[in-house]
Amino acid sequence: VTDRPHSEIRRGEFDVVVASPPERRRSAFVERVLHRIRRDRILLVLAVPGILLILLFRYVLLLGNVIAFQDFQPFLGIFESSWTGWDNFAILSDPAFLNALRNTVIITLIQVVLVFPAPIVVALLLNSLLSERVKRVVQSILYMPHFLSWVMVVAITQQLLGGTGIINNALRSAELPTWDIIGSQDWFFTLITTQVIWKDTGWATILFLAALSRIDVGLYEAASVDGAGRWRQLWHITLPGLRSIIILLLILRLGEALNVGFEQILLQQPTVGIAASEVLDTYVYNNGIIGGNWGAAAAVGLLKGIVGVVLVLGANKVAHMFGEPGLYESRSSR
Amino acid sequence: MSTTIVRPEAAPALAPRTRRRRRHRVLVGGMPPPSIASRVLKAVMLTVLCAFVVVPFVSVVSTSLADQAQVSQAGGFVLFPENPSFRAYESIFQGGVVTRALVVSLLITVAGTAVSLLCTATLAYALSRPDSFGHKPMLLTVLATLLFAPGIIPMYLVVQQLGLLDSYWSLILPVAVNGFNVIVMRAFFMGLPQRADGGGAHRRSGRDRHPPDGRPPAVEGRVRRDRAVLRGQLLERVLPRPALPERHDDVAVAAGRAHLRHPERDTERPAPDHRAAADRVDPDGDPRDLDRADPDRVPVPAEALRQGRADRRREELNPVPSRKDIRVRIGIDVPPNDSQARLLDAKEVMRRAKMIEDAGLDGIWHGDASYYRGQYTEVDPLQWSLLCAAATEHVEVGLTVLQVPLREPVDLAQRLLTIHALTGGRFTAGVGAGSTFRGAFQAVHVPYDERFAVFNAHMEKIWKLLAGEEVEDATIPPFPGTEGGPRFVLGAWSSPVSLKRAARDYDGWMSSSGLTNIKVMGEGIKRYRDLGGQRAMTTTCRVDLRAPNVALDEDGPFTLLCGPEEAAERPHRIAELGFDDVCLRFVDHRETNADRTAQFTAEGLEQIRSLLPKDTRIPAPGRRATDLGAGQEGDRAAS
Repeated sequence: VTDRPHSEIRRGEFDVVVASPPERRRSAFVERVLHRIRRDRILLVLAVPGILLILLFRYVLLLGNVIAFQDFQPFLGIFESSWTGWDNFAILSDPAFLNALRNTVIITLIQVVLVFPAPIVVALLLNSLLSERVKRVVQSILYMPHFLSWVMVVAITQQLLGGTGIINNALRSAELPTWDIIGSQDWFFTLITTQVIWKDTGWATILFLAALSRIDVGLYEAASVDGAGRWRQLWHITLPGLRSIIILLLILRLGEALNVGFEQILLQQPTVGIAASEVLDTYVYNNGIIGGNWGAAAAVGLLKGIVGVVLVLGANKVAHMFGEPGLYESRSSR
Repeated sequence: MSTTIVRPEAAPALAPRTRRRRRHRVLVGGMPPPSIASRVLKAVMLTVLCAFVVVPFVSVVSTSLADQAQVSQAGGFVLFPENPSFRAYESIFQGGVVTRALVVSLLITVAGTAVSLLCTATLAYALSRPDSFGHKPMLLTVLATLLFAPGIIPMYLVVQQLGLLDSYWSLILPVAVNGFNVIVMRAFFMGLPQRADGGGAHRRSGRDRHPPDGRPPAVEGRVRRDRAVLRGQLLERVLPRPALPERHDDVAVAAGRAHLRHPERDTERPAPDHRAAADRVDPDGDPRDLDRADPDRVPVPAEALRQGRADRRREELNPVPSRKDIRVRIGIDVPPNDSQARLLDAKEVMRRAKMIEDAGLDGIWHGDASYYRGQYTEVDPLQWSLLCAAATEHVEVGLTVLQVPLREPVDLAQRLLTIHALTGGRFTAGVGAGSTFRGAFQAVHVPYDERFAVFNAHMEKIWKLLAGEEVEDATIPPFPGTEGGPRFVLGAWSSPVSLKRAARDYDGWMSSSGLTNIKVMGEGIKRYRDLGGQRAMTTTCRVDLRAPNVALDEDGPFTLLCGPEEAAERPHRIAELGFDDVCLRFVDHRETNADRTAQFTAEGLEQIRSLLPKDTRIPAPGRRATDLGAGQEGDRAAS
């Protein structure tokens, strides 16, 4: 702790060392910190760009939410615009907002039920394959759509299902009534759900396959000794082995509950119309950035973010109650 | 310097145990392949899935290659272009808006990926060293971003305030670092081995790979261990399985230094010959292990290697007679206590062992219930077996079964080698991963769930050591004539993986008849025979001939809890199933356990022996090694 030679400490009183003046202790502390900084300087330098970007675009950005309480005028900026208190939140009773909220909630529910389990099923199917080569080929094929942009996905959808797409052309040549899927409000939720499944299911299997590969083979060995067949092994070993990752991803998904495919939906709004396709994100975009109603749009965005955090924290709490580690562990539960 | 000559007639019997290689059926996750129906179903499902993805893709490509007429006719969707042309591509590369858009997209993607990868990887690496400065607050900063999504409008404002509007950077910087990606990458970095000498973790230098001379041995050992761990992880990535906990290597290194380096190993070691070298070549082993396996290894011609293996195969150490005249051998599991539950003393143990031999039975066995909170004092089975062997002349002594993961492998190898030498090859080690008592594994810091992996790794080490190889600097140069150690019989349930191992790597398979039922045993032995397994034993077969006569319940465990008449039939059943050995354990059929040893009398043993006339039984297994005296004779003759 101190630089004093051993002999001095032995000769001097032990108390003196303990009760050394504050600045001396502080300097030792500073010394230690400096030493650690010096030791880890390379790590710290490496961390700087990433941390700066995160601070800037995830934290400093939060300050931007203050315009929810302003009559924000872009030419005046945040500091000059006038404060309006809670006035912007009156938008919450706006029928257009309520419609967007309703659409968002419905789409989220559909997607949690239909989209979330899809990669689990595919991963289990892939995992059960005997041939490593077949598995790899299928995996690679299923990954492909992830690399297409939403513009491409929407274009393909129109080529397949649009008014002059392959299906309707076939119907027309068979002299049957055409089927307007992409323009139909009734089919819109089905359409975008299918698109999401098509685009990201394969990609999402990666995490599950990784988790599957970490399950102890000895457990299967033991289970087959106990006479468990494939289905019982699936139920008693595989799924419990996946439980943690499933819950983790479900929690993260809940945090995104109110974000439903901004780009995807915005691209298809012209064909379906606002009524069926307006969700919170597009509402904020259309109302705020396009319509210039900044304050109100920011208010909606702020609420959306708060709801997301509450959902994540709540889901994590529930996960803890079921004995799962969840996204993080609170200090007390450790 | 003395030279050891292995006597020619002894040599075959002395060679280390054979690792047989055969073609096996494919087993997946320990299960036989699924039925045809489910495979067809899977194939159909996968085909549909792939078609679902591929067809739209193909259509995009095809449409881009089709000529305009066909596209208009087909409504913009073409699956097979009739007159493929690249005109569409020519037009977009001619310059103009589309070309520019392409170039811009490409640049943003490339630059964006580069920036993102750089920032993510560096941050993830910085966060992968938990003891570094500021680790915790930085990690929390990243983790918290998982909780909330940035709003569109604040994002727009930030970009605007930074003056990035209408700049390509507005498409790159805001999305460059994603907390989730950082965490995933950090997990990967944390999986990499830390720096060996415990210093600043980030400076992993070439020193790790080339430890300089003069580095303290402990550090060197850890470096080696780190390399082993790294290798394990690389392997794990190809073939996922639980990695070994590091402390075993620590223990092995420490034990190896402390006890096992033979001071005069260079002079005591038998002269290297091709046969021994062939034994050391492990076809599965890491070639680097071979390099340090034996400093005085001489290059071996491939021909000699093949010859050595072929020899050993012919001269199988454990001659199992042909199936037609098989009955069964009967072994007795000696209770460690007398009828008053007192532990026997050495003299009494030897007296009982002699009784078993005198009664004409074939084997004396003892189980291993290490550290189990049982009713009886459990003895160390190796010491016990040695006493029994000392009191007898020719019966086989052995273990049913030793829980290997609970022991330190180098120490265990030495003890096994010792008892193998002292018993003149009459010792058979039944070994297993153990499952009796979870607490025992916790007590020795072996993760219970990884016991199979630990067991297999321990056995690899033990075999290497017994073959005279070096394991992490430790060697146990075998006594002349004891290379390879005792017979190893794998004690396991009847899972296909275990049976495959037993048939391929071991001298036999030991199943428990007490804890399964006859049906399972039947299926197990059938599979084992199909896999080419040799000796099959069944242990913990409870016996009490004072029990009432009841027919054998095929859904129940195999026991001899019946009257003598019925008991005379039952061993035939075991023989029919295909077992070569049955090890009996005296119990009280009223399950009081109070009278566990009452039958252990000369009469009781004689009664059991009379269940099967001696001439219908398999002779005791061949001796594994000659006694040491003969080896010394050979030695003298040579010098």
